[in-house]
Amino acid sequence: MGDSVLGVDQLEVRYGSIRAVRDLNLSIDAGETVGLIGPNGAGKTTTLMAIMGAVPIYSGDVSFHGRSLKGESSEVIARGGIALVPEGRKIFGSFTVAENLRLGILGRRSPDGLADDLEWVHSLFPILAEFSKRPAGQLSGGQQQQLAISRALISKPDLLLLDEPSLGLAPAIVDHLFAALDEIRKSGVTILIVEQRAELAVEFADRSVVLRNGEVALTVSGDDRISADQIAAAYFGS
Amino acid sequence: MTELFQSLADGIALGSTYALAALGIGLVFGVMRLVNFAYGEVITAAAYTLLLTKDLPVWARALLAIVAAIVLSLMMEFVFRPLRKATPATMLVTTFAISFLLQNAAALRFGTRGEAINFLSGLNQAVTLAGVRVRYITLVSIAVGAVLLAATAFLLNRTDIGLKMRAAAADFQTARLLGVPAKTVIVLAFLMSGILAAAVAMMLAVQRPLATPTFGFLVVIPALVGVVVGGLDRLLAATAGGFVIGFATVILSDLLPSESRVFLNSALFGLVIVVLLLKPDGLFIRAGRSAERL
Repeated sequence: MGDSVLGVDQLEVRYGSIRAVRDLNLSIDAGETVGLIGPNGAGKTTTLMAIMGAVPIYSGDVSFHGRSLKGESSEVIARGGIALVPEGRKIFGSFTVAENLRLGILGRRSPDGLADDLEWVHSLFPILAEFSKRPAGQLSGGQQQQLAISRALISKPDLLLLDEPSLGLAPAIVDHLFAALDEIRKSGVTILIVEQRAELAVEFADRSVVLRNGEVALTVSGDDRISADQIAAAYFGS
Repeated sequence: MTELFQSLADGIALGSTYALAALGIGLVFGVMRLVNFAYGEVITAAAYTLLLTKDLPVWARALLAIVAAIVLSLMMEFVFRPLRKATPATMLVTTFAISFLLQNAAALRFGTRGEAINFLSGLNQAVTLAGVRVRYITLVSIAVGAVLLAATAFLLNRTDIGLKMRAAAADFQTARLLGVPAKTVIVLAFLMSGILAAAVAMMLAVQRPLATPTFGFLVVIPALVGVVVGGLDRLLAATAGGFVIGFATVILSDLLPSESRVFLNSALFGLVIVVLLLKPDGLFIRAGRSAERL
């Protein structure tokens, strides 16, 4: 811990007159895992999109390794070392599994260590090696999520953004997925995870931030014993 | 039987040329969601370049035609760039405006009657192959079409930049989130479509040797019809659609009695309407299938 990888400073994002995110402050150190939780419409995905440059920052700033990302395009930010696993996975269904992974490889800043990284990704998700020539659209939902995570991971990011990785998956598959994410976390990758299943995120992350109506409602350390009622209160403001 | 083989050869040749035009339109549509009606004027620009360089060697005329088509295509990219987030209707109307502007500019400069291009006219001579008389240009059109289609397929399917182009065409925002450089893939699409336009202009300049302001426009309309018939959303289907329209034009022309050939376009577009009623997504798109646009 110590070196700040991501800094979010007084971030405000608007869709027309609607303030989707307001006065958001967040700092993530190298190797840290932070959860971003909250009800639908709280501004979680918008925050990730603002970090990735996919939606414009109205005011405030986002910095990566101390450098402002304000005004940068998504492609520059991605090639700079931030990888996003988008909500709904967004794999390329008509491409093969190998081609989807190749897109991640093309986003790497350096080819050094590629063979080792591929071996690691395949050890995390062996099914991807087995189905490498299969169209990705033929994979199950869980396998597609594995592919989306692998595609992000193989770009060797300094910061991995995960948007609702458990969305639409059966509990057993979610358990398997989070076991792999735990391996990724232990390898030292810095992670910001958006997750609707609050307990899952709180348990997985070193600390979690509860967003409500675009603002921080509560910050929870992973060591805190927090009840479902307390999370619900932060969610709904009661 | 001999006549049938001649018709088939001519049909494949015109189909190959229209397929190249359809591919040029489809490449730009894939990455920009833009149906570029002004693509015909890129073909026209290459034809006028062939006209203006009559005194130069053939290779120099061909090279300059390619350069002119690429330059105009990239200039169009520059004009369309600010419209990337505009509605499809806005972009479509803009392409119409550019098309008519360039046609009228050509009419002002060169007139509307047309001037002889005189480019590789010798290719209109025929050769007898297995009892079938085929013009050299028919064989050259088929060969050029096959080579350029294969080269494009190779680039899209076997190279890193091709993979990026396909990703941008399938889902532009996700591709950018993965680091695919938007500007590079769009510029490359326009550049490739410019090269294809020059090839189309050269094939047609041999067979229809009059350069007119509507030289390319008259090709783009049937090619666009082919793109829609094949399936606008998939490049392979769109290219195949272009081929089918070219092929059908020749076959229908040969089948119709000579006094009825004035109704060729009516018969062709009647067939197109029937196809679209039966397969509204396109002739080569399977119902309910998610689209990859390149």
